[in-house]
Amino acid sequence: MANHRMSEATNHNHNHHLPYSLIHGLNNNHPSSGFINQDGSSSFDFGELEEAIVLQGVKYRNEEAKPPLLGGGGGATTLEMFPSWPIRTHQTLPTESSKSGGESSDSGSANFSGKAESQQPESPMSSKHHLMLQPHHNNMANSSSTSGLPSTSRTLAPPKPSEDKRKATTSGKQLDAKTLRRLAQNREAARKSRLRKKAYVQQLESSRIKLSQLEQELQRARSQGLFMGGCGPPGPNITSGAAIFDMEYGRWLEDDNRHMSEIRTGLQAHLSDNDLRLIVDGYIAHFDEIFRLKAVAAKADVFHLIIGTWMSPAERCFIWMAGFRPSDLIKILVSQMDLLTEQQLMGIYSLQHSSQQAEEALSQGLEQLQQSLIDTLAASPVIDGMQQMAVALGKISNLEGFIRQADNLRQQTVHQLRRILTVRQAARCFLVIGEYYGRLRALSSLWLSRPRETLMSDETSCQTTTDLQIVQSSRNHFSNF
Amino acid sequence: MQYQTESWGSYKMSSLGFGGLGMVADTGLLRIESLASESAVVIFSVSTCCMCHAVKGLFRGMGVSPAVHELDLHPYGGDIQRALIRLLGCSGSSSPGSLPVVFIGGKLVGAMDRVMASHINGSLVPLLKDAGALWL
Repeated sequence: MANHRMSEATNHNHNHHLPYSLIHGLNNNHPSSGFINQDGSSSFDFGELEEAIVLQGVKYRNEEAKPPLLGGGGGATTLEMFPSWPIRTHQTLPTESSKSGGESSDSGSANFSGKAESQQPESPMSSKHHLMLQPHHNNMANSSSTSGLPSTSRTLAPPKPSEDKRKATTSGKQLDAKTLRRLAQNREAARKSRLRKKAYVQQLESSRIKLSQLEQELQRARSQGLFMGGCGPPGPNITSGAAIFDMEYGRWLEDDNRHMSEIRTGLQAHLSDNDLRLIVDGYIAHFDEIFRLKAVAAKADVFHLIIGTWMSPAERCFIWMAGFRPSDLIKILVSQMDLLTEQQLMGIYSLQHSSQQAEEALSQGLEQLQQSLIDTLAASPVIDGMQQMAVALGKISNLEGFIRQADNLRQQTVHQLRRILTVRQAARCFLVIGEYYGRLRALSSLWLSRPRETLMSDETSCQTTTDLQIVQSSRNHFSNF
Repeated sequence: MQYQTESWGSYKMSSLGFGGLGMVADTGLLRIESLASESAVVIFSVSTCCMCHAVKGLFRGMGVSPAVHELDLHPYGGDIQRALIRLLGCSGSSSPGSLPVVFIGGKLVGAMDRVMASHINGSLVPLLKDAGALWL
């Protein structure tokens, strides 16, 4: 028994060492494909990887086809002429049928030769197998000949029963060196194909992972594009706070459109002042909402707000402290509002004046902030760099205060306009402002979606336009169609 | 002298409508009171604070020259700042404890947001005129 195991072990070793030397040899002159082409029909003209699958499939099909094969071999396929199969059928004959079920495809052959070895002492058994195999192979040969295989396959089949050296010696037959070599080659071809299959499966697996990663990236990009609402290219390192704000802002813009159409229809339908007041109050509450959202976003990512990445490019052109200039509102209105009383006009001009003064004051403050940031960062660190950075960070955190004050100023300006004007005038005023910003955003998308040729021909604009914007513009351009 | 200031201060407090605060008046609050009444427009500021710079700019832009007390340079700055925080906390400011704090005519206006809001709604200029800081 110990001897058996020893022989098994050595045989395993032998089998493990053998493939690599052989694989190289086989790879060089492709004998396995030669075998297939020789034994099978000419239809087996596959690439290297497909070959592995074909061989695998053959193996499964062989196992499936076993019962009828043993029963007479009438249904034997031509592929079973593949020289390695006799060994397998030998192994899976009735006495071993229970084992054959558990034999997996991958390590089958390596185990298999070991088992064949262990069976070796039972010489009567193996000789019996030989006897049983003999007619079976003849059958196969016959069936293959009927299916139009080359005659070489038939000549190959008969010597197969003497495939094992030791079996041959026990049964007292002469061993055919050529057949042995061919069988060894077959085994190695099978092993090689298994290795190829393994590599192929691994390759498939890694491709699958890569694909799912790409899909995730696409999903992310798509959702960000949705958040941006075409307001600009999504930044590569957008913070979560900024992304949330962009999403909220997109929703707010939708609400804004809804409010605008509400005001428009309200004005056209000549609603009563009370009904119109409800609509205008609703709009002011909606307007206050954006300042609440901005206050949250300024805490999360002050830079995202202050440079206006969330705005459309044309809006960004007019940016002042993360938003519009309050005095700009009045500039928009003055030409559009008519039927104002003298008192109302005075109120509006006074509002324009005070908002400009407040803007100027905040701008001075921000200038001072920038100056002190310059002074802090330009100075060589007195104690250590970290302290310097801490001071600079503290200054940057003041930016949030300026955004809050500027938003406060914007909010107060809108509320003051509402106080100065009658309900109907206020509705008209907010419609004018809303339409103005709507047009500004439309201008942005028009600018972004202008034909590429313009970009290419206009050299100066090419220099100032980043690649991202070009990509963005082409994307918008296509989406318009 | 000390007694005199205190009685004068608490009197002014109640007259300004600080109410309960006057009853628990501490030295910081008294100092604020005395400083605030020294000029038509008084700004409590920190010399390095940019928002303080902004509010000073606002008044100067309007033609008002406010009395500015830089608390980081003031001997009792810490006391005064703590008292201001308590004062703003009571006045319901949206950003309690933030400098600058503005007094006009000895009355508390508030921090930056209150000053801006009252300027936009048109109440700041009348207040300044009443305090004698503006003539036009």
